[in-house]
Amino acid sequence: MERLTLPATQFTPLVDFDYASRAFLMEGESYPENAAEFYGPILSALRAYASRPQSGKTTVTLRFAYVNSSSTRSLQQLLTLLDGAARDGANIEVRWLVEIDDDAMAELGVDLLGDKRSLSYEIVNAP
Amino acid sequence: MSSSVAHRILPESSEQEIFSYSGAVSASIVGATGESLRVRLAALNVESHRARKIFSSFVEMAYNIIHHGEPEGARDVKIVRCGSIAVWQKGQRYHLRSRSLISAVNAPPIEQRLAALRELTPEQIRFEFRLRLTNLQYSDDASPTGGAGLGLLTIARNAVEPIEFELAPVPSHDGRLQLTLHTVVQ
Repeated sequence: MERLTLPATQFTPLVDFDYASRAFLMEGESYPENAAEFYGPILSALRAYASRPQSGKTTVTLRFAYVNSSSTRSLQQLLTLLDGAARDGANIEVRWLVEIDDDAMAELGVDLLGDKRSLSYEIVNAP
Repeated sequence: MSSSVAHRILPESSEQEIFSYSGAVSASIVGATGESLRVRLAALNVESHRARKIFSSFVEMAYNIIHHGEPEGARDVKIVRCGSIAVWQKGQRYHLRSRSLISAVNAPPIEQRLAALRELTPEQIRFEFRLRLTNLQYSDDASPTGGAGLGLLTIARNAVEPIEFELAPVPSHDGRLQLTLHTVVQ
C-alpha cells in the first residue's frame, strides 16, 4: 500500500501512515466541520490495511492537542476498527500521547481505549 | 435560566468581557474566532487546563449553531447560520453563552436533551459520555456532521454548573425559536 500522508491544517491533524514500517501517526488538532468526511478515507485505508495479513507489530501513535465531539466519534470508529483487527490476530499497539497537564485529553484516551479488549494500548505523558 | 444571563447585553462591573462574536457562523468563522479566543485567554494568563475547557465548549457551541441552527431570513434563500457567542469572566469562573435560531420541529428534542442533562451529576455525565461512545461501536448512524449527542455532553462535562438554557419564541421569525445556552467553566 502507498504511504498515506496528509499535512496538518488548522482543523485537522497530520496523518502519516507508513505501511512499510507499520508506524502510523496522527498528530495535531481535530475539529473539522465534517469529521466523517475527513476520517472517511483514513478509515478506508485502515480497513484495507487490516484486511491484509500482518507480520510484526503495528504501532499507532495518536497525539492530539484538541479533539471535538464529532472527531471523538470518528476516533471511536477508528479504534474500534483496530480493536477488531487485533481480535482477529493482528499485533497492534496504540500509544495515546498527552501533554503533562492535559487531564482532559488523558481522560478522553481512557474513554476511547478503556473498553478495547484486544488492542494493546498505553496512555503516555509526553513533553 | 436567570433573565440576567439570557438577556445580558453589557458586562456587569464585576465581570470581565473576554470575547464576543455575533453574525454568520461557518467553519472558517469557528476557526478564526476560536483562535482569537485562544490568544485572548493566553493574554489574560488563563491557566491552560481552563483555557482548553473554554475553547472546547466554545467550539461545541459554535458548531451547534451550524449543525442545528435555522438560517436567518427567508427560508428559500441558502445562507449560513447566524448566532452569537459571548465569553466573560466573573470571579474565578468563565461564562459562555450562545444564541441561535432553531426550528420549532428541532426545539422539543433539544429541550428534552438539555433538561435531561441538567439532572445528571458530573459522574453521571462522564458515564453517559462513555456509554454513548461505546454504543457508537454498534451503531450504523451515518449522520455526516453530528457528534452523536456528544457535543452537549462535552459542554456539560467541561462545566461546573448544569447548562442553563432558554427557548424563546421569535415572532418575526416564522415560528422559529431562539435557543440560548449558558455554561460555566472553572
